[in-house]
Amino acid sequence: MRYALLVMGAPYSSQAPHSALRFADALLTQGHTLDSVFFYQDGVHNASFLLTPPQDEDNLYLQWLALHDGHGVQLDVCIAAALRRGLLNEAEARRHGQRGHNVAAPFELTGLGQLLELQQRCDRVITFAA
Amino acid sequence: MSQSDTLLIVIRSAPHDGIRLRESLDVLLVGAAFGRSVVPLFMGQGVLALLPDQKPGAPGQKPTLPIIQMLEMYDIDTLYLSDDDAKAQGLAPTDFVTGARMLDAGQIQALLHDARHVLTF
Repeated sequence: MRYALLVMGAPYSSQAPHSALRFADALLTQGHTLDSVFFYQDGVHNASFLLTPPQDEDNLYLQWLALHDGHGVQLDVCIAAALRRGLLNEAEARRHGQRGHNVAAPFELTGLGQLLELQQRCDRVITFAA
Repeated sequence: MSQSDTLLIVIRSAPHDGIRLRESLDVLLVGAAFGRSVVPLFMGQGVLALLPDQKPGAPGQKPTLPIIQMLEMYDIDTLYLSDDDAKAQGLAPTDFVTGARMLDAGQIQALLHDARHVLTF
């Protein structure tokens, strides 16, 4: 089956990203396809490349990257939810006159339309709420 | 209700409970703007979103009632809510905005069953 995951919890303060990553591993191991992980609400904080957890904790950012690098999973981030929480890529930082950015490829800032498109394209969209 | 492409959006956050309600309503609006048949179902504390006399004020959060009131312009005429959850909050059918329609547990089950897609917030 083709899957997409909707992640709405922030890293470390919510179980949602941990559970989503475990679920992603499980479905890929069973031979299913994962088209995309869509980050919405507080889940957009997963997209920051500045996440710097202590060394004895899981590095969620690197785990998302591994999902993309190893399995071609898209990492989609709702742009409206991201911007109001201070998650910007270089182009958005420039557009809004901000002095830095913290989002970069393979994370892509995109619209909510992408979530609806994923839902039509995939067999299952699984939500990981905060 | 049995259109094959219906997107049912279940909303469970109360107004001013952070930004969750507003960001859930955004999905509803984008769905409608994309020409999808979107149906909102308010459950749990989400039923409070449909109270007509909310005023913006002290919390400093942008109000959500204006969004609820303009859903009709997006052809979202019927705002379903859980009868049981309204009662649990001490609210009666007449307490809600125009377009609100109470559903009992069986009707909610049928709505969930018939929807092609469901997103729960």
